[in-house]
This record gives sequence, C-alpha cells and structure tokens, in this order.
Amino acid sequence: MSEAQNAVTLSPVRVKFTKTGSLQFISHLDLMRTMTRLILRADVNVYYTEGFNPKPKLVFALPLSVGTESVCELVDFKVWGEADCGKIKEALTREAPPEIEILEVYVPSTKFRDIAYAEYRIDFCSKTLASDAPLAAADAMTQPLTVMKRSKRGESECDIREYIKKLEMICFDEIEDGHRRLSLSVTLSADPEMYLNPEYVVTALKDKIGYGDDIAPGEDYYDIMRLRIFGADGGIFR
Amino acid sequence: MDYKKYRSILKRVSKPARYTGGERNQVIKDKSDVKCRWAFCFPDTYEVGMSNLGVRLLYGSLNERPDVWCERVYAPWGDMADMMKKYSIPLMAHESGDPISEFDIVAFTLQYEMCYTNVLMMLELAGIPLLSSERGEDDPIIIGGGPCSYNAEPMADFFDIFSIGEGEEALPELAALYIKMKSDGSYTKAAFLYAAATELVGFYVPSLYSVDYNEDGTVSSISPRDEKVPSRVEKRIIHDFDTSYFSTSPVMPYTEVIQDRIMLEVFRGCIRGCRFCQAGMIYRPVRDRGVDTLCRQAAEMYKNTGYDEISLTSLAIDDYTNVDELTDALIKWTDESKISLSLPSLRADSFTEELMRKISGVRSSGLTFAPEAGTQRLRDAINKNVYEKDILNAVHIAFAAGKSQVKLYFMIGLPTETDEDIIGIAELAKKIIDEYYKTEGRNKKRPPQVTLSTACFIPKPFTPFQWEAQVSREEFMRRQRLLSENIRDRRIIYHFHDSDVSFIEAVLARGDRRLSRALLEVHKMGARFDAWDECFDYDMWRAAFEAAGIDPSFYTARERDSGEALPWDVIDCGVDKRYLAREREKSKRSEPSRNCREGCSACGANKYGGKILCPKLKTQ
Repeated sequence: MSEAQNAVTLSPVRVKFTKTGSLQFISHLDLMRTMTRLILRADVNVYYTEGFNPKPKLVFALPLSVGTESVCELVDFKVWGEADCGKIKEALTREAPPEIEILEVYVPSTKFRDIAYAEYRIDFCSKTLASDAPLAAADAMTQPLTVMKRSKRGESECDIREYIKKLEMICFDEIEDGHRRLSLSVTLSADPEMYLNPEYVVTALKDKIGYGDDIAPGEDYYDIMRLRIFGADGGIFR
Repeated sequence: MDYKKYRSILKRVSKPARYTGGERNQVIKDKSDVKCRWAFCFPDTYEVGMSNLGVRLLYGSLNERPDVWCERVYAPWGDMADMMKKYSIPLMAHESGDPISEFDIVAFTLQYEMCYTNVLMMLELAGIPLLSSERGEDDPIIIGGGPCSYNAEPMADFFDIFSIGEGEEALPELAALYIKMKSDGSYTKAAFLYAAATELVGFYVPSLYSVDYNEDGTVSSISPRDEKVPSRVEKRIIHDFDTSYFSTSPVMPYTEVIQDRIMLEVFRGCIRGCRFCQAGMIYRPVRDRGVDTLCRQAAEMYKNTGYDEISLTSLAIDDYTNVDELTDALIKWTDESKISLSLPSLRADSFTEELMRKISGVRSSGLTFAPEAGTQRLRDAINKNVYEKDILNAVHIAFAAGKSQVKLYFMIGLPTETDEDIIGIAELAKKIIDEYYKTEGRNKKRPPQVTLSTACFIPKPFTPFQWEAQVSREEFMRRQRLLSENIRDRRIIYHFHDSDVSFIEAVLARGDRRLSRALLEVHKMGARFDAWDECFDYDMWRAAFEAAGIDPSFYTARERDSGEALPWDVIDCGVDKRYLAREREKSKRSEPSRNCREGCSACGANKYGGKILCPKLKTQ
C-alpha cells in the first residue's frame, strides 16, 4: 500500500499563478477546467468532492473577467497526507502552459473571504489620447463617475467611486506607431459583496481621457493586469 | 490568431477563446521545413469542430509526415465573421495565424449538409474565389471529405477534389503526390488533379466528369472525360484497425467543447443494416480494435490529457464483440482514478444489468435509446431489429437501478409509416411509464419521466431508402401534431425537430450539381450556420432556389425508380446497389434482415477483406 492510500489526513495547499497572454480570453469556468486537468496530469494526490459526480475540489480566490490578465491568481485545494509544496510546484510547472506560471505553492494561513481589494494596472493605448489625459483621469475622481453596472438586481446607473480605493498614474508616454499610452494603477474593492470589475473603470474613463476606441487592428487598445490582492488590513493577501 | 494584434476585437466578440489557440498538444512546425501546408477546415464553430474524432485522426496522421504541416481552421461565429469582413481580416489557420489563402491545400470536412453555406462563407473570408473554375494556379487546392462527400454533387462547382471514404492513409498519399509533382516540376493544378484521380484510389475530381440530364430533369449519364479516369470512384478504408493510426495526444481545448473527453474508437462500421442509416452502409465492413490496444490507448490518453471521462464511441457500442472484456478491463483503473466511463450509443436489445452497473460506476447520467419507430411493423420495415420487449426490458433495468428518466429517439416520415405508427410512439411511452410502476426497487422519490424526440426522416444516398420520397412539410407538421395530441400524460415530454431544415437537408442530400447555383445564391443572400436554429432562414433558401430556377421538391417529393441513374452512382461506397434494392423491397413487406453476425446479406463489402472482416461471409 502506498503512502498516499494510508494517509487519512488532508493538507490544504495554495497555489499562486499567472493567467496571461492569450489565456486572458478564457473564462473563469474554462480556467477551472484547465486547472483541474493540469492537476490530474501532474498526478497530485488531490482531494475529490463527494457525491454522484466527484471532481477535484478547487476553490479560486477571485474571478477574473475575460480580457484581463493576472500575475496573482490564487487557488486552494487539499491533498492527502503531508503537502510537499516543492514537489507539487515542480509537478504543476511541468504540466502548465507558459501563460500559467506557477509562482508559489504554500500552506495557506488565511481565508479567501478576508480579501478586500485588488490592484490593477490599466494601459490605455490610443492615437487620440488627450495631452492632459493624466489630469483628466485624476479629475475624474472629483465628480460622480457613473456607469451602467450589472448586478443581481439588473442593470442600473452607479457611481463607481465608492469602489475605487486608489487611482494613480504610473506613466504617460509615447509608444510605437504614434500611440500615446496612459498607465494607471487602480485599487478596487474586491470583497464578495462589493466586487468591481476593472472593465467599469475603463468604461467610465475612456471618454474623459480621449481614448479613441477604434477596434481596428493597429488602432486603439487597452490592457488590464491584476497585480496584487490585499486583505482588509491593507497588507498584501497571501 | 495573434491575440495582441486583434485584442480589441477579441474583447468585443462572444467566446473569444474560440479564436486564440495555443492549446496543449497542438502541432507547431517550422514553415521552412515543410513542403506542403495543409489547412484542415471544419465548417462549424470551434466547439463543434474540436469535438470531431475524424478531424483529430486526420490532423494527427497528416502531421506524422515531417514534410507536411496540417493546421486547424474553424468557422468564425457571426459576430466575428462580421468583424473580419469589416476590418479586412482574412481567415487564418489556428496554429500559425497565417491566412489560409497562402496554403497549398485547403480541406473541408463535410459532416452534414447544412454546413455547406459555412464552407462558402469561409472561402469568402479567406479571399479564395468560390468557384473552382475561377481559381488559378496560385490558389490553394480545395478538397472535401467526410460523409457528405459520398454525394457532394451540390458542392461540385466549389471543390477541386473529394476524398471518398476514410482518409487516414489517403490524405497523406495525396500530400505526397503534391510534394512529388511540385519538386519534379510536373505540377500544374490540372495535372495534379488528374494524377490524383487516375493514380490514387479514393479521389473524385468532379471536373473530370460530365453529367447529362433527361428531359424530365433526371440524370441520364455521368461520363468520365477519358478512359483513364475511373468510371466509378472506389472509397478507401483502413483494413487493419489494430495497427492503424490513432492519436493519443489530442489537442486540448481551453474552452468547453461538446465532446470534452477521451474518445476511444472501439470499432468502425456497423453490423446492423438499418435501412435509413447512411453510416451503417458507408462504413462497411465492420472492423474491431483489440481490447489490449484500446486499454493502452485509453491509459496513454489519460496521461496526456488529464481528462476524467472516457467515452466509447462507435455506431452501437454494445455490438462490440468483446464489450464485456473491454469494460471490465477499463473499469479496473477508471474507478480507481475516478474516471467516468460513458457508452453513448446503447441498443435496447443488448442492454444488460452488467452494462448498467458499469456505466453507473463513477458518474450518473440519464439513459437514451433509439427505437426509431413506434410499432413493430415499422421497426421491421426499417430493419431496426429491436422489439418492444427489448425496450421494456432495458428501461426496467434502468428503473431498477434507480433511474427515473429515459430519453427515446424516433423518426417520423419513414417510408410506409401510417398514423397507427405515429400513435404507437405515444403508446410505447405509456407502456414505459407503466413499466416504471411495475419495477421493484424503483426510485420512489421521483415520478418517472419519458422524453420523446422525433427527427424528420431524410432519405440519404447509399441507403435502401435512397429512392424514397420525403413527406411534405405540411405532412410532417400534421404527424407531429398527431403525436402531440396523443400524449396526454404530463410525465411524457415531446420534442420535435423542425421540418423546414429537414426539407432543405433532404434537397441537398440527394441533389445534383445543378444545386451549386442555388448554394451560391443563398450564400450571397447571407446564409450561414444553417445547422443552428437561430441562424437558419427558410424563406431565404426558398428565394435562393427560385433565383436559381430550381424546384426543390424535385429532389424530395419524388419517389425514384430503382433503375434511375442517381447523381452519386459515380461513387462506389463498397455496398452493392442490388443489395440496397433488395433491402428496399423487403422493407415494403416489413421484412427484417439478419445482421452481419447472424448471417450474410451479400451487401458486397466483403470485397475489402472477405473472411477476415465479415464474420459470416456468404460467397456469392
């Protein structure tokens, strides 16, 4: 009998990983499927759900919307016996595509419900950005910032400023092909009751800063990257 | 697709993961190392195309050749297709992102007739002229294959060549011929197509044949251009199914597709000979794969994919000679690894408690059977060889195992069908409900539910019903109503398939090359994704037929004489026309035939391997 079969204890494991490049376009459900298969290929001795349809039990920290990249995704699962984090990291890395980089595997000491904020970098790249775009972005926070926001109760007009903890400029420069780039750092509410999708910040700001929104190849584009997750105490969530 | 270049568009369309690629197990080669670039197009969405086992096999077998790079292409959904048109983005291959107009060979698999308009949409998006006659030396060779190529005459004007039958060996041969003629300087498009038709087996080049018609519109003759061109094109088959190519590293989609699991092809062909079924005829003779081979393939695929579900795919899985041995061997490790095993095509007459127990091992799902007809007389006429006692026995086993839901598939409009047969469907459902209450150990917490689905019968080429008329749309609707009125039990749910689509499908299934004109018209009117209810537009098709001067009912409503020349007579599917005619006559007498294991009906497919492949061969 192997060590795993003998084991009766379950150990929690947390994996920090990236979801970048073309994988920004797969949905949260797709990511769950991808992670499940990755774990099965890596032959991690993962705990399955009970019942009629047993599946490896994975719990993700925060959903990530389609079209957003991340370098700080977290997923929890349990393994039978002692968790050898180094070995799990190695096995997952071997099976992971380049867009999913396994950054860290560790035994968690926190709960996902304590997540309060997430920080994003938003890069607006456009030929038509106003020369005072940084000012316009900062100014946006001084008046109601309304968008049509979807919630469980339907779509309604909403001032998203109460969801925005911090909005700062990272840089404003010229890049290739006559594009200007405005990079912002935004820290948004991410607790389960008040989660704000960063796409709403893009929607709210794009007219104010002169973003062209011409989707033709080679014209205007924006990128969003989730950088860090914070707990309620303001420290980095781990 | 280069996601950076097109990111703003990808953020606007639905399900962008259909287009971004980069999947595990995709094949990437260096373009400068290969001599033939092959674009394998599936004329439907990514989710449908990625689920097709045939494409997986052909993708793998072409890429086995180091001098060939085969890539995948799918039909962009309407929102993406509109974006591509608006911003002049050409149709690209999934792996390299290169426009498919730059490829040597562009292949389309024709799995169902209603995808024909998507083929035309994809050619247009690729910037490739639609008509074969308008393409030049620099345009790719356009080849078709798959079940519809057995009568792809309606698409004859658009394709240069068709591959008939199984392609695992034929397509690499065609690529080899292309490479040889390119390198020795003998290549011209015409010379290549002529060589493929005359030197290789299983390739049909429509432009090498002229079709003449009688005054009444029927075909009078199909003549090859010269004596070297075969008067009939013989299909290709794989003889040894144990050693034939099988991919154990399928491309793994990130986004959910329809068949998102390990597909194990247990055998090819079918011993049954249902008279409406084209697959049961064109894949003859039946060829088994050994239990050891299958178990090895399953284990390799599990390791390579991380899928936790295995589906045994074949036409009727319980007809496999070693089905018990195979399921026993698989269950040994699937249970332990928490892999679920599904057997999607079960026959009611061979469903046993043992099979029931095996499929309810890890994951539980509903049960589906296909009696096809509501009375024994009609089931005999279509040679279904399933009896009411079989069906009641099968549902009894399922109910005893705790199931309370059963799905049943039927066809309406079958030849010789009467109102009694229609009402028989409702009566069968009632008997199943009664059987539930007679079953000891049934699940008493839930009431039983029987779901009936009826499809509209479409006569297909190379079946004993290839000469039969299809009933009119009005008659289909009357019969659907009749069945609906005879169901007065809320535990019985009835779904039926749209007769408008079935009418168009029937026109195309037995059409001739004059229909290319109508297809061109309907394409110009904007038809696409006709296999999708939300996209299919019947009025548009009617208008297209009118514009092309074609009466569609000529192809559907007319019963043909067994002696009439048929547009698909130019193809030899391995089954003798005389056998089909004999089966037709038997159906009129409601007389069933024995299956291949009980006795030989002399269909003619024994020519591919005689005693080895046909279990009870009758020498003619």
